[in-house]
Amino acid sequence: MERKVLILGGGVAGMQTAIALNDLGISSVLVEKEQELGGRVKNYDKTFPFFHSGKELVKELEDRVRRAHLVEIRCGTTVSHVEGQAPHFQASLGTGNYKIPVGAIVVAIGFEPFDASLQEEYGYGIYKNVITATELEHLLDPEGPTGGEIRRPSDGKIVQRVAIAFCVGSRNEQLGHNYCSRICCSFSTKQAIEIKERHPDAVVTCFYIDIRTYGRGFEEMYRRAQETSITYIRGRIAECGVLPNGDVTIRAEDTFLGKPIQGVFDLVSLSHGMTPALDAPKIATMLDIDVAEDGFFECRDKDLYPNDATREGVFLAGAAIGMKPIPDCIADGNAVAARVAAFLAEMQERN
Amino acid sequence: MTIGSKPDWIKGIAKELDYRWRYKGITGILPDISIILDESNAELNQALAAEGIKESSWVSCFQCGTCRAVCPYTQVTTDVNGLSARRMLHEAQLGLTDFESEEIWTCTTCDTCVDQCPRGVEIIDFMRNLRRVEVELGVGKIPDSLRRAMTNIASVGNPFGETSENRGDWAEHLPVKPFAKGTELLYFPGCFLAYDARARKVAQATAGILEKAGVDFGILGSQEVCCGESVRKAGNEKLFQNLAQHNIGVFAENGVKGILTTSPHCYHTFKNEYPQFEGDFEVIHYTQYLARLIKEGRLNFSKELNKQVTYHDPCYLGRHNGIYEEPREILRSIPGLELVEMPDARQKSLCCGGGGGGIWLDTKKGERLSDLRLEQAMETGASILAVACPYCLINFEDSKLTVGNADRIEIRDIAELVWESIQES
Repeated sequence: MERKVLILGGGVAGMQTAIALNDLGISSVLVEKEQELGGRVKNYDKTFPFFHSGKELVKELEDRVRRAHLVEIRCGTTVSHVEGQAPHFQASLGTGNYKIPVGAIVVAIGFEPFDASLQEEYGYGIYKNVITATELEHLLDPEGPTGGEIRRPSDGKIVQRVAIAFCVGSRNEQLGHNYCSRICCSFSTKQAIEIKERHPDAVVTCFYIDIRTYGRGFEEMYRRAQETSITYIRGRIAECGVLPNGDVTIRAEDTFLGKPIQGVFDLVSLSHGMTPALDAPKIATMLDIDVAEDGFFECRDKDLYPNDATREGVFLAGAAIGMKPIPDCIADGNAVAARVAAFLAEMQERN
Repeated sequence: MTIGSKPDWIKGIAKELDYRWRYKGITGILPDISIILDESNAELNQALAAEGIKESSWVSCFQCGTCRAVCPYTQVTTDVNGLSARRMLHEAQLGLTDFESEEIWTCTTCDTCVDQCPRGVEIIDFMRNLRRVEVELGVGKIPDSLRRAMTNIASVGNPFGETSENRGDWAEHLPVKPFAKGTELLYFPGCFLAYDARARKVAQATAGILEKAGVDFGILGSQEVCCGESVRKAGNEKLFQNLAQHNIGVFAENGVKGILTTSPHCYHTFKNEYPQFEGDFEVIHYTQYLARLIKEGRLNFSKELNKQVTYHDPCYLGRHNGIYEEPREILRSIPGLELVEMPDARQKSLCCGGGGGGIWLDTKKGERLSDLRLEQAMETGASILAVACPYCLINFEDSKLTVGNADRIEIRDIAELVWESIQES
């Protein structure tokens, strides 16, 4: 039996899995389809709720992973084929020439941001000044295209009035995504605070259905946003329009006042939810594991085995099993490593 | 009061945005009921901030609705849209405050909402500042009766318009001396006790008790003016500061160290607000003082009262200043007096409607909080409703005239009950 683990995905969860396995004396192959490790977090200047640097976090993890003797890193490649049964899998990388025997497999392939153009009423992709939260994140990055100033796409004007639309692509029957993407309220609030910090005179208005900033440090971040004079209006933006000068108009209801409300903004940011990784169906088939109705991977038991896939020897970590904040991805990496170690030890005993 | 010209941003509130012609080509016809979010939504906040008003606690309101749920006003009104603190906070944040609305004056500053608010929003402060906008910038409409009271206070130092020379007349023929340097305690009866016929009896009873207990006290009579507490809550900051500075000057000149008040409102402002203007005195409410005298054995209760009495916690003694036990200790010391509690006692006490300027407003019949509270008092079976605040006293005496079967209950200030019991029979 090969005491080696195949990890699909070199993001936060994948890297932490490799590090944790290394600490347990178990070797792994970390396979990442991009040229660089770090997944999504490598592009984030600040994370929530403590405003730590995402880039620094990824650097730290990458450093640890590269120093881990038992981790073989393979970037710019994917797993094309897996044969056999646990604990005697045979994985083929890339074009299929490189074959590795592995005892267990961890799926940490992350997520895909919701494609906001699918929600046509917001005019994303049509109105220049309607952007997504990911694009806003780039604008907020001091190393980004505008040096950290929030300038709107149409004319580069520094924003004075910003609207943030919550729940874009999530909690929506029309789009087939009924689930809540859990972290959007949090990153939206973080972004609102950051915009106000860069441009204190700007008016930032968040249009929400609920504020789901739960957990330690998150409520405190929400309160901080309120105290920074960020306006919260309970009412989902129903549609966006555009004026000749590029200003974006919105229609919503202010449910507290029970009245329809209209506004004009320089920039509207759509806080898109998350969808399963684009490769998820392919990988599910390849590994013969189940995917739930919402498209994210199914686990063996939702209460007792949240990190086990539905097939023996295959495990799950990170956003691939549902959106979660970074510390939870780290926790998943550690949890999966423990599960894998236990599994391999059990297999060892059987032989 | 200054009535200046309206600043530009006031004109901006709820103005129609001139974008209609552009909308018509894109989304069709605008319904008139829409709120238009435009530049004014930040301007009200900025204007209030410029007045040095601390806004940060207001913005942390998360619309839970607790304030509305506990507000006593909701128990006496049929208007579902009336006086909603959370709605008013939200409107102010969006620059949509309706300054013509009556509800700005409805709040009695009873502190129930502030006491319960999970976000610690300073709601009373917020109401006070909305009123400041009206008073200082001349927008909206200040209720006539309130305006009259403020004008009177500004000119003669009391809301009734009585001559200031008569302020000490209640003490005529009583063993009450003028305060002089070296007198231990200043007794400050306040405007109602000085001038109102019913309330005067409380001042007289109090003076009698102090004299019998051998307390060295004096009064300042026509030298003093209204404490200004209600005036400040009604938004007239300038008048309040004038009153405070006048009183502090008079107190300092006369070497006042300790002040005894009957009204919890005077107590509240002397203790919590005058220090801001360097008026630092030892302030004591008469219930605290009498409780102390009783403990020290300086009061001799000779007459039995033999009545069932219920006590109403005044908002400004209880919730605002945490004094709940001393009044009860006094009542329990009176021989033959049986104390029964109403529901909504202590921290949950139901406001009588007098605070925040309410004492001067003409509240519609059927919407009077004191009517409801009097009914609660009668339901206990008590024959006496004991009070410790002149506003409560006046409001309950008023309610007695309109609430059915109210003849079987008497309204008495604690001082009156004590005075009655320390008389030789």
